[in-house]
Amino acid sequence: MTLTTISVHDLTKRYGSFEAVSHLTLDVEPGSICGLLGPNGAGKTTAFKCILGLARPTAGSIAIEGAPVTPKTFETTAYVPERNVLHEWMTVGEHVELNRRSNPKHDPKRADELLATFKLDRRKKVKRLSKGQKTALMLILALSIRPRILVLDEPSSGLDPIFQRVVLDLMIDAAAGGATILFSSHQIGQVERAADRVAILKQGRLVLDGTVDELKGSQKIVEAIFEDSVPSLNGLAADARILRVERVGRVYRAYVREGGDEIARRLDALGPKSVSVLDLNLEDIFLNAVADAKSPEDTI
Amino acid sequence: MWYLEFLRMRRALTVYALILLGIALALVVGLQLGHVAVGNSVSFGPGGPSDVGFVYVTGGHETKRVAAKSLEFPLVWLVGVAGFLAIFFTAILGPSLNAESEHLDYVFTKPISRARLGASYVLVDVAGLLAAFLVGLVIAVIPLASIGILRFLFVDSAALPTFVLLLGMAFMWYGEKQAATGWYQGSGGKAGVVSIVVFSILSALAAVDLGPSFHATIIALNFLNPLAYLHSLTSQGGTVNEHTLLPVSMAWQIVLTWSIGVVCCAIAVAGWRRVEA
Repeated sequence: MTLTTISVHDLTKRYGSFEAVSHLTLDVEPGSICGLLGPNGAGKTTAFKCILGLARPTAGSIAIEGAPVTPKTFETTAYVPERNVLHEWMTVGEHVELNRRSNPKHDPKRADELLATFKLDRRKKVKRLSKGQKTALMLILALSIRPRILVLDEPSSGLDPIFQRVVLDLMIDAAAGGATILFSSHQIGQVERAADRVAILKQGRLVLDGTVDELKGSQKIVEAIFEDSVPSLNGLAADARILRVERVGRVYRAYVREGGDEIARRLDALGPKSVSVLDLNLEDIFLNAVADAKSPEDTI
Repeated sequence: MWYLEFLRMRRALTVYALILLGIALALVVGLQLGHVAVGNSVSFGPGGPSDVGFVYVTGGHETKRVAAKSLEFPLVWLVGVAGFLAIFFTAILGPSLNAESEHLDYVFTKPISRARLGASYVLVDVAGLLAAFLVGLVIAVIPLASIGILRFLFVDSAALPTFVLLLGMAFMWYGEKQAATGWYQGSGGKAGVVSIVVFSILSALAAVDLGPSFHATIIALNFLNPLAYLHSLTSQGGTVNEHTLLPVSMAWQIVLTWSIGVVCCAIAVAGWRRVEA
Protein backbone atom coordinates (compact mmCIF):
# COMPACT_ATOMS: atom_id res chain seq x y z
CA MET A 1 0.00 0.00 0.00
CA THR A 2 1.37 3.46 -0.90
CA LEU A 3 1.47 5.95 1.92
CA THR A 4 -0.34 9.23 1.26
CA THR A 5 2.26 11.99 1.23
CA ILE A 6 0.12 14.75 2.70
CA SER A 7 -2.93 13.71 4.64
CA VAL A 8 -5.29 16.32 6.06
CA HIS A 9 -8.30 15.06 7.98
CA ASP A 10 -11.17 17.25 9.13
CA LEU A 11 -8.92 20.27 9.61
CA THR A 12 -10.50 23.32 11.20
CA LYS A 13 -8.69 26.52 12.09
CA ARG A 14 -10.44 29.35 13.89
CA TYR A 15 -9.13 32.81 14.76
CA GLY A 16 -11.54 33.96 17.43
CA SER A 17 -14.99 33.56 15.95
CA PHE A 18 -13.66 33.54 12.37
CA GLU A 19 -13.33 30.10 10.83
CA ALA A 20 -10.48 30.36 8.31
CA VAL A 21 -10.52 26.66 7.42
CA SER A 22 -13.51 24.46 8.04
CA HIS A 23 -13.47 20.64 8.14
CA LEU A 24 -10.94 20.30 5.33
CA THR A 25 -10.06 16.76 4.31
CA LEU A 26 -7.45 16.35 1.60
CA ASP A 27 -5.03 13.62 0.57
CA VAL A 28 -2.12 14.25 -1.76
CA GLU A 29 -0.63 11.13 -3.30
CA PRO A 30 3.13 10.59 -3.76
CA GLY A 31 4.57 12.13 -6.91
CA SER A 32 1.42 14.05 -7.71
CA ILE A 33 0.86 17.76 -8.21
CA CYS A 34 -2.17 19.08 -6.37
CA GLY A 35 -3.39 22.59 -7.09
CA LEU A 36 -5.34 24.38 -4.40
CA LEU A 37 -7.61 27.04 -5.81
CA GLY A 38 -9.81 29.58 -4.14
CA PRO A 39 -10.58 33.28 -4.09
CA ASN A 40 -8.65 35.57 -1.76
CA GLY A 41 -9.46 34.74 1.86
CA ALA A 42 -10.64 31.21 1.02
CA GLY A 43 -8.21 29.72 3.55
CA LYS A 44 -5.48 28.39 1.25
CA THR A 45 -2.57 30.01 3.09
CA THR A 46 -4.00 29.08 6.49
CA ALA A 47 -4.39 25.48 5.31
CA PHE A 48 -0.73 25.45 4.19
CA LYS A 49 0.41 26.90 7.50
CA CYS A 50 -1.53 24.25 9.43
CA ILE A 51 -0.14 21.48 7.22
CA LEU A 52 3.42 22.68 7.88
CA GLY A 53 2.94 23.22 11.61
CA LEU A 54 3.28 26.98 11.33
CA ALA A 55 -0.21 27.41 12.76
CA ARG A 56 -1.93 25.16 15.29
CA PRO A 57 -5.15 23.57 14.02
CA THR A 58 -8.22 24.12 16.14
CA ALA A 59 -9.34 20.60 15.25
CA GLY A 60 -8.42 17.81 12.89
CA SER A 61 -5.24 15.95 12.11
CA ILE A 62 -2.38 16.31 9.65
CA ALA A 63 0.28 13.83 8.64
CA ILE A 64 3.18 14.14 6.25
CA GLU A 65 4.37 10.77 4.98
CA GLY A 66 2.28 9.17 7.70
CA ALA A 67 3.75 11.09 10.63
CA PRO A 68 3.15 14.39 12.38
CA VAL A 69 5.28 17.33 11.30
CA THR A 70 8.59 17.57 13.18
CA PRO A 71 11.73 19.60 12.45
CA LYS A 72 13.11 16.56 10.61
CA THR A 73 10.19 16.81 8.17
CA PHE A 74 11.85 19.93 6.75
CA GLU A 75 14.96 18.08 5.66
CA THR A 76 12.87 16.93 2.71
CA THR A 77 9.95 19.35 2.73
CA ALA A 78 10.28 22.87 1.38
CA TYR A 79 7.85 25.74 1.57
CA VAL A 80 7.61 28.89 -0.49
CA PRO A 81 5.22 31.30 1.21
CA GLU A 82 3.07 33.80 -0.60
CA ARG A 83 4.70 36.89 0.91
CA ASN A 84 8.37 37.76 1.03
CA VAL A 85 9.89 36.36 4.23
CA LEU A 86 13.52 36.88 3.30
CA HIS A 87 15.80 39.15 5.32
CA GLU A 88 16.06 42.37 3.37
CA TRP A 89 19.49 43.29 4.74
CA MET A 90 21.08 40.00 3.69
CA THR A 91 22.53 39.24 0.29
CA VAL A 92 21.39 36.50 -2.07
CA GLY A 93 24.63 34.62 -1.35
CA GLU A 94 24.13 34.86 2.42
CA HIS A 95 20.66 33.33 2.07
CA VAL A 96 22.07 30.48 0.04
CA GLU A 97 24.83 30.00 2.62
CA LEU A 98 22.25 30.02 5.41
CA ASN A 99 20.31 27.34 3.56
CA ARG A 100 23.48 25.28 3.23
CA ARG A 101 24.26 25.57 6.92
CA SER A 102 20.72 24.84 8.09
CA ASN A 103 19.79 21.92 5.86
CA PRO A 104 22.00 18.85 5.36
CA LYS A 105 20.19 18.13 2.10
CA HIS A 106 21.20 21.42 0.50
CA ASP A 107 22.82 20.83 -2.89
CA PRO A 108 25.21 23.72 -3.73
CA LYS A 109 25.44 22.68 -7.38
CA ARG A 110 21.66 22.77 -7.74
CA ALA A 111 21.59 26.19 -6.05
CA ASP A 112 24.17 27.50 -8.53
CA GLU A 113 22.15 26.14 -11.46
CA LEU A 114 18.99 27.79 -10.21
CA LEU A 115 20.74 31.10 -9.49
CA ALA A 116 21.93 31.06 -13.10
CA THR A 117 18.45 30.15 -14.38
CA PHE A 118 16.89 33.11 -12.59
CA LYS A 119 19.94 35.32 -13.28
CA LEU A 120 20.36 36.29 -9.64
CA ASP A 121 23.57 37.91 -8.44
CA ARG A 122 24.86 36.42 -5.18
CA ARG A 123 26.26 39.78 -4.03
CA LYS A 124 23.00 41.65 -4.37
CA LYS A 125 21.11 42.55 -1.21
CA VAL A 126 17.53 41.28 -1.03
CA LYS A 127 16.22 44.82 -0.58
CA ARG A 128 17.59 45.61 -4.07
CA LEU A 129 15.67 42.72 -5.69
CA SER A 130 12.35 43.11 -7.47
CA LYS A 131 9.27 41.32 -6.11
CA GLY A 132 9.66 38.63 -8.75
CA GLN A 133 13.35 38.15 -7.96
CA LYS A 134 12.52 37.72 -4.28
CA THR A 135 9.99 35.04 -5.17
CA ALA A 136 12.62 33.45 -7.40
CA LEU A 137 15.13 33.42 -4.53
CA MET A 138 12.62 31.74 -2.23
CA LEU A 139 12.05 29.14 -4.94
CA ILE A 140 15.79 28.60 -5.35
CA LEU A 141 16.20 28.04 -1.61
CA ALA A 142 13.31 25.58 -1.63
CA LEU A 143 14.42 23.64 -4.69
CA SER A 144 18.10 23.51 -3.77
CA ILE A 145 17.39 20.91 -1.07
CA ARG A 146 15.86 18.70 -3.80
CA PRO A 147 12.71 18.31 -1.69
CA ARG A 148 10.51 15.22 -1.68
CA ILE A 149 7.59 17.46 -0.76
CA LEU A 150 7.15 20.97 -2.02
CA VAL A 151 4.46 23.34 -0.76
CA LEU A 152 4.16 26.49 -2.83
CA ASP A 153 1.83 29.35 -2.01
CA GLU A 154 1.42 31.48 -5.15
CA PRO A 155 4.85 30.55 -6.56
CA SER A 156 4.43 32.76 -9.63
CA SER A 157 3.51 35.85 -7.68
CA GLY A 158 5.27 38.86 -9.17
CA LEU A 159 7.06 36.89 -11.87
CA ASP A 160 6.90 37.90 -15.52
CA PRO A 161 5.37 35.41 -18.00
CA ILE A 162 8.78 34.03 -18.99
CA PHE A 163 9.71 33.17 -15.39
CA GLN A 164 6.16 31.95 -14.70
CA ARG A 165 6.82 29.36 -17.37
CA VAL A 166 10.20 28.53 -15.79
CA VAL A 167 8.48 27.98 -12.43
CA LEU A 168 5.90 25.75 -14.08
CA ASP A 169 8.63 23.72 -15.74
CA LEU A 170 10.56 23.42 -12.46
CA MET A 171 7.44 22.12 -10.73
CA ILE A 172 6.78 19.59 -13.45
CA ASP A 173 10.46 18.60 -13.40
CA ALA A 174 10.44 18.14 -9.62
CA ALA A 175 7.29 16.02 -9.83
CA ALA A 176 8.83 13.94 -12.62
CA GLY A 177 11.73 13.32 -10.25
CA GLY A 178 9.30 11.93 -7.67
CA ALA A 179 8.48 15.03 -5.63
CA THR A 180 4.98 15.62 -4.35
CA ILE A 181 3.76 19.15 -4.88
CA LEU A 182 0.94 21.04 -3.24
CA PHE A 183 0.54 24.54 -4.57
CA SER A 184 -1.89 27.40 -4.83
CA SER A 185 -2.14 29.86 -7.65
CA HIS A 186 -4.45 32.44 -9.12
CA GLN A 187 -3.03 31.52 -12.54
CA ILE A 188 -5.67 28.96 -13.42
CA GLY A 189 -3.97 28.17 -16.71
CA GLN A 190 -0.85 27.24 -14.76
CA VAL A 191 -2.84 24.98 -12.45
CA GLU A 192 -4.60 23.34 -15.39
CA ARG A 193 -1.29 22.69 -17.07
CA ALA A 194 0.65 21.38 -14.08
CA ALA A 195 -1.81 19.83 -11.65
CA ASP A 196 -2.95 16.23 -11.68
CA ARG A 197 -5.53 17.11 -9.15
CA VAL A 198 -7.38 20.23 -8.09
CA ALA A 199 -9.05 21.15 -4.83
CA ILE A 200 -11.17 24.28 -4.62
CA LEU A 201 -11.72 26.12 -1.35
CA LYS A 202 -14.43 28.65 -0.67
CA GLN A 203 -14.77 30.40 2.68
CA GLY A 204 -12.57 27.78 4.28
CA ARG A 205 -14.56 24.82 2.96
CA LEU A 206 -13.56 22.35 0.29
CA VAL A 207 -16.20 22.74 -2.40
CA LEU A 208 -14.69 20.65 -5.17
CA ASP A 209 -11.94 18.07 -5.36
CA GLY A 210 -10.82 15.71 -8.10
CA THR A 211 -8.51 15.16 -11.02
CA VAL A 212 -8.60 17.83 -13.71
CA ASP A 213 -10.15 15.36 -16.18
CA GLU A 214 -12.78 14.24 -13.67
CA LEU A 215 -13.75 17.81 -12.94
CA LYS A 216 -13.89 18.75 -16.61
CA GLY A 217 -16.01 15.69 -17.36
CA SER A 218 -18.38 16.35 -14.49
CA GLN A 219 -19.77 19.60 -15.88
CA LYS A 220 -20.95 20.94 -19.25
CA ILE A 221 -22.11 24.29 -20.59
CA VAL A 222 -25.37 24.41 -22.48
CA GLU A 223 -25.28 27.56 -24.55
CA ALA A 224 -28.32 28.91 -26.42
CA ILE A 225 -28.27 31.98 -28.68
CA PHE A 226 -31.63 33.58 -29.41
CA GLU A 227 -32.69 35.85 -32.28
CA ASP A 228 -33.99 38.54 -29.92
CA SER A 229 -33.80 38.68 -26.15
CA VAL A 230 -33.82 35.51 -24.09
CA PRO A 231 -37.47 34.41 -23.65
CA SER A 232 -39.11 33.18 -20.48
CA LEU A 233 -37.46 29.92 -19.56
CA ASN A 234 -40.42 28.43 -17.69
CA GLY A 235 -38.45 27.70 -14.51
CA LEU A 236 -35.65 25.94 -16.34
CA ALA A 237 -32.98 27.60 -14.18
CA ALA A 238 -34.56 26.14 -11.05
CA ASP A 239 -33.55 22.68 -12.24
CA ALA A 240 -31.28 21.24 -9.54
CA ARG A 241 -28.85 19.96 -12.17
CA ILE A 242 -28.07 23.53 -13.22
CA LEU A 243 -25.30 25.00 -11.10
CA ARG A 244 -25.27 28.49 -12.49
CA VAL A 245 -26.75 30.48 -15.33
CA GLU A 246 -25.47 33.47 -17.26
CA ARG A 247 -27.53 35.79 -19.45
CA VAL A 248 -25.67 38.21 -21.66
CA GLY A 249 -27.91 39.89 -24.28
CA ARG A 250 -29.18 37.16 -26.58
CA VAL A 251 -26.91 34.51 -25.06
CA TYR A 252 -28.05 32.16 -22.34
CA ARG A 253 -25.58 29.77 -20.70
CA ALA A 254 -26.40 27.08 -18.18
CA TYR A 255 -23.60 25.30 -16.32
CA VAL A 256 -24.88 21.82 -15.64
CA ARG A 257 -23.61 18.98 -13.51
CA GLU A 258 -25.40 16.33 -15.58
CA GLY A 259 -28.21 15.97 -18.08
CA GLY A 260 -26.72 18.50 -20.48
CA ASP A 261 -28.38 16.93 -23.52
CA GLU A 262 -31.84 16.97 -21.95
CA ILE A 263 -31.47 20.63 -20.90
CA ALA A 264 -30.28 21.41 -24.43
CA ARG A 265 -33.48 19.81 -25.81
CA ARG A 266 -35.63 21.88 -23.44
CA LEU A 267 -33.85 25.06 -24.55
CA ASP A 268 -34.16 24.03 -28.17
CA ALA A 269 -37.95 23.86 -27.72
CA LEU A 270 -37.88 27.64 -27.01
CA GLY A 271 -36.77 28.29 -30.61
CA PRO A 272 -33.25 29.68 -30.32
CA LYS A 273 -30.95 30.38 -33.27
CA SER A 274 -28.57 27.70 -31.97
CA VAL A 275 -28.01 25.43 -28.98
CA SER A 276 -24.76 23.65 -28.18
CA VAL A 277 -23.32 21.55 -25.36
CA LEU A 278 -19.74 22.62 -24.61
CA ASP A 279 -16.92 21.28 -22.43
CA LEU A 280 -15.74 23.40 -19.52
CA ASN A 281 -12.21 24.56 -18.85
CA LEU A 282 -10.78 24.77 -15.33
CA GLU A 283 -11.55 28.47 -15.09
CA ASP A 284 -15.27 27.77 -15.70
CA ILE A 285 -15.20 25.01 -13.09
CA PHE A 286 -13.49 27.32 -10.61
CA LEU A 287 -15.95 30.15 -11.21
CA ASN A 288 -18.90 27.77 -10.82
CA ALA A 289 -17.46 26.41 -7.60
CA VAL A 290 -16.88 29.76 -5.96
CA ALA A 291 -19.89 31.61 -7.41
CA ASP A 292 -22.71 32.46 -5.05
CA ALA A 293 -25.90 30.40 -5.24
CA LYS A 294 -28.22 31.07 -8.15
CA SER A 295 -29.80 34.45 -7.60
CA PRO A 296 -33.59 34.92 -7.89
CA GLU A 297 -33.36 36.72 -11.23
CA ASP A 298 -31.47 33.76 -12.66
CA THR A 299 -34.21 31.38 -11.67
CA ILE A 300 -36.87 33.00 -13.82
CA MET B 1 20.70 29.05 12.14
CA TRP B 2 23.29 30.64 14.41
CA TYR B 3 24.75 31.93 11.14
CA LEU B 4 21.75 34.22 10.62
CA GLU B 5 22.07 35.73 14.09
CA PHE B 6 25.83 35.93 13.67
CA LEU B 7 25.34 38.05 10.54
CA ARG B 8 22.83 40.28 12.32
CA MET B 9 25.09 40.70 15.36
CA ARG B 10 28.16 41.32 13.22
CA ARG B 11 26.27 44.09 11.46
CA ALA B 12 25.18 45.68 14.76
CA LEU B 13 28.68 45.40 16.23
CA THR B 14 30.25 46.96 13.15
CA VAL B 15 27.99 50.01 13.44
CA TYR B 16 28.64 50.17 17.20
CA ALA B 17 32.43 49.91 16.77
CA LEU B 18 32.48 52.56 14.05
CA ILE B 19 30.51 55.00 16.22
CA LEU B 20 32.81 54.40 19.21
CA LEU B 21 35.86 54.68 17.01
CA GLY B 22 34.58 58.00 15.68
CA ILE B 23 34.09 59.30 19.23
CA ALA B 24 37.52 58.03 20.28
CA LEU B 25 39.24 59.66 17.31
CA ALA B 26 37.44 62.95 18.01
CA LEU B 27 38.74 62.74 21.59
CA VAL B 28 42.27 62.05 20.35
CA VAL B 29 42.15 65.08 18.08
CA GLY B 30 40.74 67.17 20.92
CA LEU B 31 43.50 66.03 23.27
CA GLN B 32 46.21 66.69 20.71
CA LEU B 33 44.91 70.21 20.13
CA GLY B 34 45.02 70.82 23.88
CA HIS B 35 41.31 71.37 24.20
CA VAL B 36 40.93 68.74 26.86
CA ALA B 37 41.79 69.89 30.37
CA VAL B 38 43.82 66.91 31.54
CA GLY B 39 46.73 67.81 29.27
CA ASN B 40 47.57 66.51 25.87
CA SER B 41 50.82 64.67 26.42
CA VAL B 42 52.88 63.11 29.13
CA SER B 43 56.65 62.79 28.94
CA PHE B 44 59.19 61.28 31.24
CA GLY B 45 62.22 62.65 32.93
CA PRO B 46 65.80 61.97 31.79
CA GLY B 47 65.64 58.44 33.25
CA GLY B 48 62.71 57.49 30.93
CA PRO B 49 59.79 55.37 32.14
CA SER B 50 62.03 53.81 34.80
CA ASP B 51 62.34 57.25 36.34
CA VAL B 52 58.92 56.85 37.93
CA GLY B 53 58.97 59.62 40.44
CA PHE B 54 57.78 62.49 38.24
CA VAL B 55 56.40 63.08 34.80
CA TYR B 56 55.89 66.17 32.68
CA VAL B 57 52.34 66.92 31.63
CA THR B 58 51.95 69.31 28.73
CA GLY B 59 48.61 71.05 28.24
CA GLY B 60 48.29 73.96 25.79
CA HIS B 61 51.43 76.09 26.23
CA GLU B 62 52.12 74.98 29.76
CA THR B 63 54.19 72.05 31.04
CA LYS B 64 53.88 70.84 34.63
CA ARG B 65 56.05 68.43 36.59
CA VAL B 66 53.73 66.17 38.56
CA ALA B 67 54.10 63.08 40.71
CA ALA B 68 53.58 59.99 38.56
CA LYS B 69 51.57 58.42 41.35
CA SER B 70 48.87 61.08 40.92
CA LEU B 71 48.25 59.92 37.36
CA GLU B 72 47.69 56.26 38.17
CA PHE B 73 44.21 54.94 37.50
CA PRO B 74 42.59 51.51 38.01
CA LEU B 75 41.38 49.17 35.27
CA VAL B 76 37.93 49.23 36.83
CA TRP B 77 37.46 52.76 35.43
CA LEU B 78 37.91 51.49 31.91
CA VAL B 79 35.73 48.49 32.69
CA GLY B 80 33.05 50.86 33.95
CA VAL B 81 33.14 52.93 30.76
CA ALA B 82 33.12 49.84 28.52
CA GLY B 83 30.36 48.26 30.63
CA PHE B 84 28.20 51.35 30.40
CA LEU B 85 28.66 51.38 26.62
CA ALA B 86 27.82 47.65 26.42
CA ILE B 87 24.64 48.25 28.43
CA PHE B 88 23.70 51.08 26.09
CA PHE B 89 24.39 48.79 23.12
CA THR B 90 22.10 46.15 24.68
CA ALA B 91 19.37 48.71 25.33
CA ILE B 92 19.20 49.85 21.72
CA LEU B 93 19.75 46.43 20.15
CA GLY B 94 16.51 45.11 18.60
CA PRO B 95 15.29 41.92 20.33
CA SER B 96 16.36 39.12 18.00
CA LEU B 97 13.52 36.64 18.60
CA ASN B 98 10.90 39.28 17.93
CA ALA B 99 12.88 40.42 14.88
CA GLU B 100 12.15 37.01 13.35
CA SER B 101 8.37 37.41 13.65
CA GLU B 102 8.20 38.58 10.02
CA HIS B 103 10.30 35.62 8.91
CA LEU B 104 8.77 32.70 10.80
CA ASP B 105 7.58 31.01 7.60
CA TYR B 106 11.25 30.89 6.69
CA VAL B 107 13.00 30.04 9.96
CA PHE B 108 10.38 27.59 11.27
CA THR B 109 10.57 25.48 8.11
CA LYS B 110 14.19 24.50 8.69
CA PRO B 111 15.08 21.07 10.07
CA ILE B 112 16.02 22.49 13.46
CA SER B 113 13.88 22.42 16.59
CA ARG B 114 12.50 25.79 17.57
CA ALA B 115 13.98 25.55 21.07
CA ARG B 116 17.43 24.92 19.61
CA LEU B 117 16.89 27.71 17.11
CA GLY B 118 15.93 30.18 19.87
CA ALA B 119 18.81 29.05 22.09
CA SER B 120 21.28 29.55 19.24
CA TYR B 121 20.05 33.13 18.81
CA VAL B 122 20.50 33.80 22.53
CA LEU B 123 24.00 32.30 22.62
CA VAL B 124 25.15 34.34 19.63
CA ASP B 125 23.66 37.48 21.17
CA VAL B 126 25.40 36.89 24.50
CA ALA B 127 28.69 36.42 22.66
CA GLY B 128 27.84 39.69 20.89
CA LEU B 129 27.32 41.48 24.22
CA LEU B 130 30.71 40.25 25.39
CA ALA B 131 32.22 41.43 22.11
CA ALA B 132 30.56 44.84 22.54
CA PHE B 133 32.10 45.07 26.03
CA LEU B 134 35.56 44.19 24.73
CA VAL B 135 35.23 46.56 21.75
CA GLY B 136 34.33 49.35 24.20
CA LEU B 137 37.32 48.45 26.37
CA VAL B 138 39.76 48.45 23.45
CA ILE B 139 38.44 51.68 21.97
CA ALA B 140 38.44 53.43 25.38
CA VAL B 141 42.17 52.79 25.51
CA ILE B 142 42.88 54.75 22.31
CA PRO B 143 42.52 58.32 23.68
CA LEU B 144 44.49 57.38 26.79
CA ALA B 145 47.27 55.86 24.74
CA SER B 146 47.40 58.95 22.52
CA ILE B 147 48.45 61.14 25.48
CA GLY B 148 50.80 58.55 26.93
CA ILE B 149 49.05 57.85 30.22
CA LEU B 150 48.12 54.25 29.50
CA ARG B 151 51.26 53.17 31.34
CA PHE B 152 49.72 54.51 34.56
CA LEU B 153 46.92 51.98 34.31
CA PHE B 154 47.01 49.34 37.02
CA VAL B 155 44.93 46.21 37.37
CA ASP B 156 42.86 46.35 40.53
CA SER B 157 40.96 43.57 42.27
CA ALA B 158 37.59 45.22 41.59
CA ALA B 159 37.98 45.04 37.82
CA LEU B 160 36.94 41.42 37.35
CA PRO B 161 33.81 41.39 39.57
CA THR B 162 32.75 44.74 38.09
CA PHE B 163 33.21 43.33 34.61
CA VAL B 164 31.08 40.28 35.48
CA LEU B 165 28.39 42.44 37.10
CA LEU B 166 28.21 44.92 34.22
CA LEU B 167 28.05 42.11 31.69
CA GLY B 168 25.35 40.49 33.85
CA MET B 169 23.37 43.75 33.80
CA ALA B 170 23.63 43.88 30.01
CA PHE B 171 22.55 40.24 29.79
CA MET B 172 19.65 40.84 32.19
CA TRP B 173 18.44 43.80 30.15
CA TYR B 174 18.76 41.74 26.98
CA GLY B 175 16.83 38.82 28.52
CA GLU B 176 14.04 41.06 29.78
CA LYS B 177 13.57 42.60 26.35
CA GLN B 178 13.52 39.16 24.76
CA ALA B 179 10.96 37.85 27.28
CA ALA B 180 8.75 40.90 26.79
CA THR B 181 8.73 40.70 23.00
CA GLY B 182 9.61 37.13 21.96
CA TRP B 183 6.03 35.87 22.02
CA TYR B 184 4.73 38.99 20.29
CA GLN B 185 4.28 39.11 16.51
CA GLY B 186 4.30 42.87 16.06
CA SER B 187 7.43 44.96 15.84
CA GLY B 188 9.45 44.96 19.07
CA GLY B 189 11.95 47.51 17.80
CA LYS B 190 10.73 50.16 20.24
CA ALA B 191 11.34 47.86 23.22
CA GLY B 192 14.78 49.45 23.73
CA VAL B 193 13.47 52.98 24.10
CA VAL B 194 10.53 51.84 26.23
CA SER B 195 12.82 49.85 28.51
CA ILE B 196 15.17 52.83 29.00
CA VAL B 197 12.21 55.02 30.01
CA VAL B 198 10.65 52.39 32.29
CA PHE B 199 13.93 51.51 34.02
CA SER B 200 14.84 55.18 34.49
CA ILE B 201 11.44 55.94 36.05
CA LEU B 202 11.77 52.91 38.30
CA SER B 203 15.20 54.08 39.48
CA ALA B 204 13.93 57.61 40.07
CA LEU B 205 10.89 56.39 42.02
CA ALA B 206 13.21 54.72 44.53
CA ALA B 207 14.23 58.18 45.70
CA VAL B 208 10.65 59.38 46.19
CA ASP B 209 9.34 59.22 49.74
CA LEU B 210 5.75 57.97 49.48
CA GLY B 211 5.63 55.73 52.50
CA PRO B 212 7.40 52.52 53.49
CA SER B 213 5.13 50.07 51.62
CA PHE B 214 5.44 52.04 48.35
CA HIS B 215 9.20 52.25 48.82
CA ALA B 216 9.46 48.52 49.53
CA THR B 217 7.45 47.76 46.38
CA ILE B 218 9.65 50.01 44.27
CA ILE B 219 12.82 48.46 45.70
CA ALA B 220 11.45 44.99 44.98
CA LEU B 221 10.66 46.02 41.39
CA ASN B 222 14.12 47.50 41.04
CA PHE B 223 15.64 44.07 41.43
CA LEU B 224 14.36 43.60 37.86
CA ASN B 225 15.83 46.92 36.78
CA PRO B 226 19.36 46.66 35.35
CA LEU B 227 19.93 50.38 35.92
CA ALA B 228 19.36 49.87 39.65
CA TYR B 229 22.48 47.74 39.81
CA LEU B 230 24.51 50.65 38.37
CA HIS B 231 23.74 52.65 41.51
CA SER B 232 25.52 50.02 43.54
CA LEU B 233 28.87 50.57 41.87
CA THR B 234 31.02 53.19 43.56
CA SER B 235 33.88 55.12 42.10
CA GLN B 236 36.14 53.20 44.47
CA GLY B 237 35.72 50.21 42.27
CA GLY B 238 32.68 48.09 42.57
CA THR B 239 32.22 47.71 46.29
CA VAL B 240 28.70 48.11 47.60
CA ASN B 241 27.86 51.68 48.41
CA GLU B 242 26.17 52.23 51.73
CA HIS B 243 23.55 54.31 49.90
CA THR B 244 23.00 51.57 47.36
CA LEU B 245 19.57 51.11 45.82
CA LEU B 246 19.62 47.34 46.19
CA PRO B 247 20.51 46.17 49.69
CA VAL B 248 22.55 43.13 48.66
CA SER B 249 26.24 42.45 48.24
CA MET B 250 27.99 42.66 44.90
CA ALA B 251 28.29 38.86 44.75
CA TRP B 252 24.52 38.58 45.11
CA GLN B 253 24.02 41.24 42.49
CA ILE B 254 26.13 39.22 40.09
CA VAL B 255 24.10 36.09 40.85
CA LEU B 256 20.83 37.99 40.49
CA THR B 257 21.62 39.71 37.18
CA TRP B 258 22.81 36.52 35.53
CA SER B 259 19.97 34.42 36.99
CA ILE B 260 17.29 36.90 35.90
CA GLY B 261 18.90 37.01 32.45
CA VAL B 262 18.87 33.20 32.14
CA VAL B 263 15.26 32.89 33.34
CA CYS B 264 14.09 35.66 31.00
CA CYS B 265 15.85 34.08 28.02
CA ALA B 266 14.25 30.71 28.84
CA ILE B 267 10.81 32.38 29.04
CA ALA B 268 11.49 34.19 25.75
CA VAL B 269 12.46 31.02 23.88
CA ALA B 270 9.49 29.11 25.35
CA GLY B 271 7.09 31.87 24.24
CA TRP B 272 8.70 32.31 20.84
CA ARG B 273 8.55 28.63 19.89
CA ARG B 274 4.78 28.72 20.31
CA VAL B 275 4.26 31.76 18.10
CA GLU B 276 2.16 31.06 15.02
CA ALA B 277 3.46 32.26 11.68
